[in-house]
Amino acid sequence: MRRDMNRLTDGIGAFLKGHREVVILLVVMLVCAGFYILQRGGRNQFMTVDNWRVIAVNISTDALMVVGMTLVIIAGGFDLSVGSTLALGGIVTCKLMVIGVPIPIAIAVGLLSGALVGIVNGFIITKIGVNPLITTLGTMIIVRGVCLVAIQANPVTGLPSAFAKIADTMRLTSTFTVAYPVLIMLVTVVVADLMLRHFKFLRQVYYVGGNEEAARFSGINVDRVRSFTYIVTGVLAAAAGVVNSSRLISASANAGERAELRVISAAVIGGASLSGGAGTILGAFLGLLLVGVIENGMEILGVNIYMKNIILGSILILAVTIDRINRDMIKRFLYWLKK
Amino acid sequence: MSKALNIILAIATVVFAVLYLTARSATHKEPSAPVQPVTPAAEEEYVFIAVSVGNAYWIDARDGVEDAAKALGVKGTFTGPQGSDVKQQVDIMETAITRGAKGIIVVPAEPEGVVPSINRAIDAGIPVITVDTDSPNSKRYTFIGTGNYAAGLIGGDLLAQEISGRGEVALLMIPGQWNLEERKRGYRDAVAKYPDIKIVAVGNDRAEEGQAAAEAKSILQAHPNLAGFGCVDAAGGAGAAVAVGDAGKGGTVKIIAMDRNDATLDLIKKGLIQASLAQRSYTMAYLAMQMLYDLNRDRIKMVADWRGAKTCPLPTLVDTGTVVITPENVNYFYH
Amino acid sequence: MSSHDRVRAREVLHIEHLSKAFPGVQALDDVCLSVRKGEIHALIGENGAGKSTLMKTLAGIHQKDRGLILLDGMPIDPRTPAEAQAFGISTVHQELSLAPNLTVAENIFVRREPTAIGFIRWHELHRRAGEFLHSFNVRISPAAQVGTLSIAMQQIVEIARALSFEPKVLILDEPTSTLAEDEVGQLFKILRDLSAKGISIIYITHKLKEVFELAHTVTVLRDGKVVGTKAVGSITMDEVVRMMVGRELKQMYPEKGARKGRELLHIERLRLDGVFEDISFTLYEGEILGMAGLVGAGRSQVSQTIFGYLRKDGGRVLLDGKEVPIDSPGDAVRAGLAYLPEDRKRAGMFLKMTVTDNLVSANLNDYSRVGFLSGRAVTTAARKIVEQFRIRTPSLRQRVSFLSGGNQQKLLIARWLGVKPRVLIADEPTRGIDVGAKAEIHALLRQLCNEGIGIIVISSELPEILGMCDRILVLHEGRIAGELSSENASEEAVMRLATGHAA
Repeated sequence: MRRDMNRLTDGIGAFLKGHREVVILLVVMLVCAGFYILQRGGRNQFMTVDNWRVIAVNISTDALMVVGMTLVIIAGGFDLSVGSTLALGGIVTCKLMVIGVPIPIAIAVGLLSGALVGIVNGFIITKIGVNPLITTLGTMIIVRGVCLVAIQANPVTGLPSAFAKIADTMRLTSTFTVAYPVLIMLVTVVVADLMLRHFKFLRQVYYVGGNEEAARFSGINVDRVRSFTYIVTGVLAAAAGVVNSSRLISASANAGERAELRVISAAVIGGASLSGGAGTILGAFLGLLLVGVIENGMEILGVNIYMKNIILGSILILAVTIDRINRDMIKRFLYWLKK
Repeated sequence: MSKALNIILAIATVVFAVLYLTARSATHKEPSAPVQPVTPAAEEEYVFIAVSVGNAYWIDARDGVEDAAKALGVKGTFTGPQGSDVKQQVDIMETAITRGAKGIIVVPAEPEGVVPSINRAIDAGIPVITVDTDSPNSKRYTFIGTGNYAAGLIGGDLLAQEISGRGEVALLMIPGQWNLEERKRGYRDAVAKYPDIKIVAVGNDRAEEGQAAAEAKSILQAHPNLAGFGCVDAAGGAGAAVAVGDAGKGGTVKIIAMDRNDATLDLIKKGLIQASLAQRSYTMAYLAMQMLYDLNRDRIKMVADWRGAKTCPLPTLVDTGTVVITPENVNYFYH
Repeated sequence: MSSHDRVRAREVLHIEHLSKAFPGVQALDDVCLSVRKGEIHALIGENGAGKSTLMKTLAGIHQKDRGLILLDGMPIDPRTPAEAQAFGISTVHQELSLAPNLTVAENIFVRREPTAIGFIRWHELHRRAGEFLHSFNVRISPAAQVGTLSIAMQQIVEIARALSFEPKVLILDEPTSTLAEDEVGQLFKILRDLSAKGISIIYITHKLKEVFELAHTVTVLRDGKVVGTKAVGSITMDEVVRMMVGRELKQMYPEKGARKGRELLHIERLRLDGVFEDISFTLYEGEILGMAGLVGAGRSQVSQTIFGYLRKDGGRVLLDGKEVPIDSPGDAVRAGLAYLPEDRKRAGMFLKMTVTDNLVSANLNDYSRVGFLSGRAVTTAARKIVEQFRIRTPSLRQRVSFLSGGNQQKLLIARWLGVKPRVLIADEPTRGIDVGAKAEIHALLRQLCNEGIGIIVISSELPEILGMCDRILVLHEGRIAGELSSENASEEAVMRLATGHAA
């Protein structure tokens, strides 16, 4: 009997580890159900299409960054500078538009500024060999400083109205409405996820992160792959900045504050291992969705704002711990309880 | 086996997406319909969205919201982001709009970023009042606040008087935060009237007393002849006092602080801080709640149908002024 | 063509006067070696003899200083691993180099997956991989995720990858260090098939038995020089050992204990659900008890449970006749048990710390007064121990990761003796250690035993178990299959019990 129980728990454990995405999706649905039940009073505010639209728009900028961050983490790296790059992308684009540069060109230059940050990160990490944590911490601070200096803490305003329309309005096709940021998010996530699963060059990140020496010996240009992930992340962060600016019709120097922690948490919840070699974009997106849903739910339920951090932090730890639990730990725990 | 699961996942996502894309919302509102109080009063929710929510400064505003909610018999929600990222405020506002809040009070992290959301709220029939910091380009009905610039002017004049019109001064703030930049501007303009006073440094106190103290210490070391500190946020005063006290210059180097947290009040009593500028944050919040409540019930009958006339009966600007806390009245301000 | 040339012509790989130096040490000194087509050529030598340097030079990881490498008569000088592979030399390293989250097929054809505009053609990839694996009779699904396979299977995938480049020469570095007996057999069959197909194999190992079982030729290296190359049929194991060590190795295994002391440790019906059950045995003072069995039989788990690292589900542990409750390694140490783990790198040593630190880690209290550690006491004690055990290290402050395997193991044993244990459990004590050091460790263990400590040795090397132990317990699928005394023990007897046939 006991042997069967052990096999059962082992089996469940293996399932949880092997099918992370399904698990997170189930958790999201569970959480939704939970929030739905917990709503006091008669009116349902949580499970409405409008609320879900809000959730989707709210996570749309983080989602772009999570795509890049997942690649970076799978390849064994780390990028703390995404929040600052978001601000940079927004500021560069908006400043250019204000002085009359056509919108598409302004956006292109904004994205390029993100690529530049990525190039710098990639260079320092691969060619000079500084630890990614320290490097991106440095670029995070420097880029944020550049943003402050560039606009002297005055948010960029006076943007052409076309800009706001393009990146934010609903697109109506009879009764179907989608916000553009949500569309951009979905397209990016789906395309990126599929590419990571099937595109040969991208899959190299799994080799690089799984076993760097071996990847090198197999002839993979480890430095090129790593730099690539940082550049992609930089561009996507800048793109998030552009979308963000359009939504707020302004660009400020403190946009994207703390975004890096949210995004990294989402990727880790989604199955990315900080030691590299594992993770999927779909998982990271679902992780972000989970965080977004929980934040939204807590708002609706009126959870004390001071509690929010505790709850979100606990979820992150829980997600990572589930990976590590094995049968022996459970036994030790039960034994300890008995004592 | 895992192929089957991937298919399930794909189907679930597609179903989800379709559900999302189709159908009108259950809470879809026509813009011109009046807000009927069909919901029981206890479910009438007013949302106060602050900024840097962990800061002790907001205790007053939170109390104001809660007391007003109790007095009026409605639900008051105090919320806001941890930092000062306007995007997060907007996220919270959107959630509030969708869940049918009956009124929104917001302290914009920046004047422009909140404009689209405030306008969306107004268009959806939810009245919006800005508090403490304004968003003049939005469709908000009312701004209740001190006028950060005006506060800075008063502070600058006070500081000038304390140092008898001559000497070097330093300012402490969090760079980049909109309302503080406005106060700094006020200090600068006020001090500009005194040709013998020079602002030699503007320090970053990172909204925390310890950091403020460290920053103030460096400034004192760099400028040994410093005559005074002007602090435009709550953390600056206590920090500057620590630095000044450690340097043995307590009472000689003058400090004008901001806000009324208990630490600052103690320091005023001790004489390390000469005065503190307090805002009527409690009043701002309470008043805003009251105004929205009355507006929703059409009690301010400037015209019979203000919505039809497209003129809101609420005042556009309410100046709650600045309170100067000195050793004389300090005891009254303890929480 | 002279006869010399004719011989040369059959040679696939010909190495002449190969030398390579690193700062401070001449790793390869005038090495000359030849491998014929289809030959299985074993390369053997003590640690530091130059085996891995030779392999890495052929594999393009290091560059030679002097000398000639001829592949099929053509001189080559691989400067990168990719070049070596392109020339036709494939290497399977000791550390697995697979990406655990990718499939078998992807790992085999890394960087050469069939693509259409950059997108992997999965069907084609899996088909090719399936064909490949089938061609040497291996039943692994190409779509399986590598991380879910057993180590032995992963090793086979690694070999498949090396073979996918259609090499002329395949170099294997210690391939059986993590394999069980039957898996080794499977590997050997694959290697023999390859040899028959004309692929030359250079097989680096320190396990003499394997050399004699598998290889056609053996080359012995010592201190970077080739001591000799002989056909396997023409020499004995002793001669090989002599060539390796350079001196007469008097005895691999010391004389066994003549008399048993009193009952020391008694295990009664020990049980760990799902792993083992009904384990009962007695260990006497002054005896070495061996635990044999196939990989997965539960030997390590039994000893880890006795030591408190795993929590038992049932049974009792009695020391000197009294039951001792052991719920954690701390309890076990206090009761007088010591444990040398199988994976000494991960579970035994503090690799980044010094020799001294590692030696005293188990009994810091002995060197402290009022909670403060006495540096002098520690250093004095460490110096004494290093001398006593003849641990070879340039200094006491040397980082332990730089010590050879044998010296690391000696260090671990020395450390545990510091707590003056009554019972010592040694799990694979000589794994990854060269012949000379092995003999030292065996002698050391026997010496401890004669001083009254009871020792349990777990080993997968049958000669070691038979040579060392006074009694042998054989485990099979979590139960004791039988017990053999030193007289009745033989390889067949042990294997029979280990595979589940009645004694």
